[in-house]
Amino acid sequence: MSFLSKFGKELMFFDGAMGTMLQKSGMAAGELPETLNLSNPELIKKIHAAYLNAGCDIITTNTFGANSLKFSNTAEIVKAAVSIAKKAASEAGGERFAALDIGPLGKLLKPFGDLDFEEAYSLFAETAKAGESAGADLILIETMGDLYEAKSALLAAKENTSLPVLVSLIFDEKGKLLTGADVKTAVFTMEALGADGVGVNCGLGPDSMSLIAAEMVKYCSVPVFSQPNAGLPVCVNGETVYNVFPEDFAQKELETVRVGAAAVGGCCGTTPEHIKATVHLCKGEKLKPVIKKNYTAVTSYSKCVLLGEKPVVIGERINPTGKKLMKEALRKGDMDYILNEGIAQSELGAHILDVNVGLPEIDESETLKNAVLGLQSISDLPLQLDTSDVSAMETAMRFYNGKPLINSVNGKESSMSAVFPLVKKYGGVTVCLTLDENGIPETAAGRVEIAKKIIKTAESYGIDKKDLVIDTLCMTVSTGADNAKVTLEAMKRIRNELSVNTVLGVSNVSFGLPARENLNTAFFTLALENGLSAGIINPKSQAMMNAYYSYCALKGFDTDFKEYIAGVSEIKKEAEIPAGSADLKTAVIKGLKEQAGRLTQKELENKSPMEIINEILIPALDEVGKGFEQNTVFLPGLLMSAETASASFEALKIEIAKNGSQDEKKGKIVIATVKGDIHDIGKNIVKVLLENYGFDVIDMGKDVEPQAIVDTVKKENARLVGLSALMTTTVPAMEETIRLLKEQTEGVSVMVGGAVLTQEYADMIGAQFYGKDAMSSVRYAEKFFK
Amino acid sequence: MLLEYDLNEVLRYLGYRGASADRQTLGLIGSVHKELCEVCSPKYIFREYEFQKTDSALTINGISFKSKKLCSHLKNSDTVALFAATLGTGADTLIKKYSVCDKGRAAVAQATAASMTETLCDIGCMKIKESCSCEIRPRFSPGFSDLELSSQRDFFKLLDVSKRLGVTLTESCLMVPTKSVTAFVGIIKEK
Repeated sequence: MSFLSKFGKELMFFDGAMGTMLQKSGMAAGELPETLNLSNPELIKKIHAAYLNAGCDIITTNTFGANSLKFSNTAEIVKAAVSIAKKAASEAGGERFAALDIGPLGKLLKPFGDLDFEEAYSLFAETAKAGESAGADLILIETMGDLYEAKSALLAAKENTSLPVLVSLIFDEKGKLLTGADVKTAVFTMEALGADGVGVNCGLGPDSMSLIAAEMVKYCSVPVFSQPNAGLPVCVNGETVYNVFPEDFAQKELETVRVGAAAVGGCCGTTPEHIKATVHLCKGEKLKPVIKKNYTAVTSYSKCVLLGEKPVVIGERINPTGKKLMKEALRKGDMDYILNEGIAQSELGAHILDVNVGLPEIDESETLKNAVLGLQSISDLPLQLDTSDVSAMETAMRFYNGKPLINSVNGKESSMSAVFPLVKKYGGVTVCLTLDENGIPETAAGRVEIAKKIIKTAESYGIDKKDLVIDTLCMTVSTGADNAKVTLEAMKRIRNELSVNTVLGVSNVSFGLPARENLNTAFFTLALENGLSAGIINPKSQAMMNAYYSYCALKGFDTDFKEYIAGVSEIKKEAEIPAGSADLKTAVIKGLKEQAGRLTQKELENKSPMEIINEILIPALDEVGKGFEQNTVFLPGLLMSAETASASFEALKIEIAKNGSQDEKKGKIVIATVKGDIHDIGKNIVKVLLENYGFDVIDMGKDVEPQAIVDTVKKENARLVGLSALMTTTVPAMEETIRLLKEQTEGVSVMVGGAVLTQEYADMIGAQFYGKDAMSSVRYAEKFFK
Repeated sequence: MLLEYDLNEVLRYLGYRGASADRQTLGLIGSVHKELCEVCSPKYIFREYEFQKTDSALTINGISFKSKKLCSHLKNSDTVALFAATLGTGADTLIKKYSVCDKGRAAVAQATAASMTETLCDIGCMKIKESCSCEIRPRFSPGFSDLELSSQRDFFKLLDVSKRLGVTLTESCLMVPTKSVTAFVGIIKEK
């Protein structure tokens, strides 16, 4: 009998702790337990045998940390471990399974840490392949505290083996993963990626874990399992002790089974006695059937948005169509522009962000990937990956942390056969456009038919209709008086007759007509009333957001009117800023960022952009800079001024672009935090100041390879480089970068800065300039380019 | 656990050198602190160990830490606790977000979170004191004085920091989440 034909159908038991047993047998703290597979296989086998005797069905191999970050002979260790487990299982008789155990790598993935997703993937793939070839019956990925790492392990196991894969996560007392996901977010993400079971282990005692398992069962469509510690560790005489006894432990396990867990076992501190008591008490307990759930959920690394009941807002602003500045930012690879659009929309109430970076002249795969990674490092909103380029879509889905919205497929055979296999593999909720080879049907019935066809085709790929949202497409009413009506009717029917969620780009409706916002808001409200689950709109439009908040308040989705009132007070705040209370120069000096846009517009009535820069912004920045140098202005003030000036520059850029003239840059500077260093706040401060003073700054980010910096300097033909390092340990990387620059370029100067640097250090490693603070690098750059 | 911050420390991190902050900055610190409290999940762990030492190396469970300063720091200690604490990934994400969209706030968040980390360490060390009913020495961290930062690797192995606390080390031995601290804490038993 195969594992999957049993798992989820009858109650199964995992083993208990391996590490605890090894420590009991005298293994020293700090010793790597996996080496014992080679040096003392008998000991490992004895532990497996003890658990098998206790009555467990699944034993986990002694391979928790068996990966090539820790070992040079990973495959050998894994193979030994699996064969020990297999041997123990076959000697025990009966139907037993050996699970290849895969624990976390002990390094956090980017963007939090420094490990690349693909590197994590290959490490896990190596272990998984070795496990399968040695005969493991299934793979158990366990103790995962980061959803992204769990994803890389799950993908590696799925793509490189044909074994069933279970994923077990570690939650804290608040029911959160280390990187912030709650239970349902984690469950939706893991099952979307094809986990055959989702579980919880370690971190908690059986009490709290039972609650987590119950919560999992509520959302999960695949079997749930649970492996608690024998209580929380306490320190007694310098020893770590777990003090929940086998009988009490078993009692809690029984409760967990009764809330719907399909398998139970133990983690740290548990022993064969714990498992024996559990098997004894729970054996014969009838399994609650695993029920398919009907949630339409999209997730980020920490958050989940449910579609269907309360409508949600998808922010449409990250899209270059018709946006000159965004196009320019994309061509330059300037991600901050995109990230700021993301943050602004999130603060204005968007629940999901659409991400479209399609421009003919850029590498869309790479750009979309960078946009996704960038946005996920600063925002916890789920993303809607929006591209018609299938390979860009696959890349984005692979690197996305969570279960995304996929924008989009349509009723054409070619579209569905390209996109659905990707959705099946990576998981996601797909936006389905009701058009096909014959175009967009003119009638509602025609669009409903296409929706049906798409739903049916999706099903043939194993994609449930709960993971589809139908877009009934809106054409402008200026070309057909019935256009809006048809869209709304189709939407209503799809929601009511097919029970599928809907999505719509709302603002198309008014194309070609004046005062579009009026039509857009009215149409948005109508669409919501006709069953719109998610509106793709501009959250920066106060009128649209007002329509949304009002609808939710009127329909009982905002029962205490909290969101409505917060929305209204937003409006008040805008209105309360007294006009003419400050001039632009004062605003910059005082750091009143919110007023920068309006005051800049006012100055533009009488002055040219260049006049404003030279007569107002630069003198204001100089005044603040001098204050900083004389200790009357401090870092927060300096930065708030800089940000205010930046906001003003943004407004001026639009004006400059309008007139078709180029804004003059003073000189090109490449800046980076050096290899090995992940602190970039100092570098970011320098960047904003340099930009304020009109320099063209190419920011390479943090932890940057020396050669990559040299390559960029060459490519950009930059003459000045700024390097930052915060730790003594990363100064050598700075030195290396300077050395390579000297070898491979000519006439390039380097300025350095960062907490540990001194003039002495800077001289020693051959830098031309040491900047003791951000202002001094501006002064140097000004002199340098004079 | 609600973590307070020490205003003087925050201002010191921000380069005030004893100058006082204006109302705008104080308001900013207060509002950033509130946000940090919402996103942080502070946690700490510790474990007490027997140790051997010479003038220049401290040995715990067969693992040596070379540092004259650490050895003299622990000269009257009976045992040593390995201590680790973190604010979690939430603080990092918030700082990252503000370093994109509001750098003034980012600098303040950086400083305030650093001070909150210290508060957390103080709370954790009080706990060590209580649980052993003993006196404790000030914290001594890897990377401080003559104790190489690379000793973090052994420290992490001994205390099993990654698994128990969710803090991990980068190639260059920096901790992520970045608002984290590890330290040796000398324990002096009542005689």
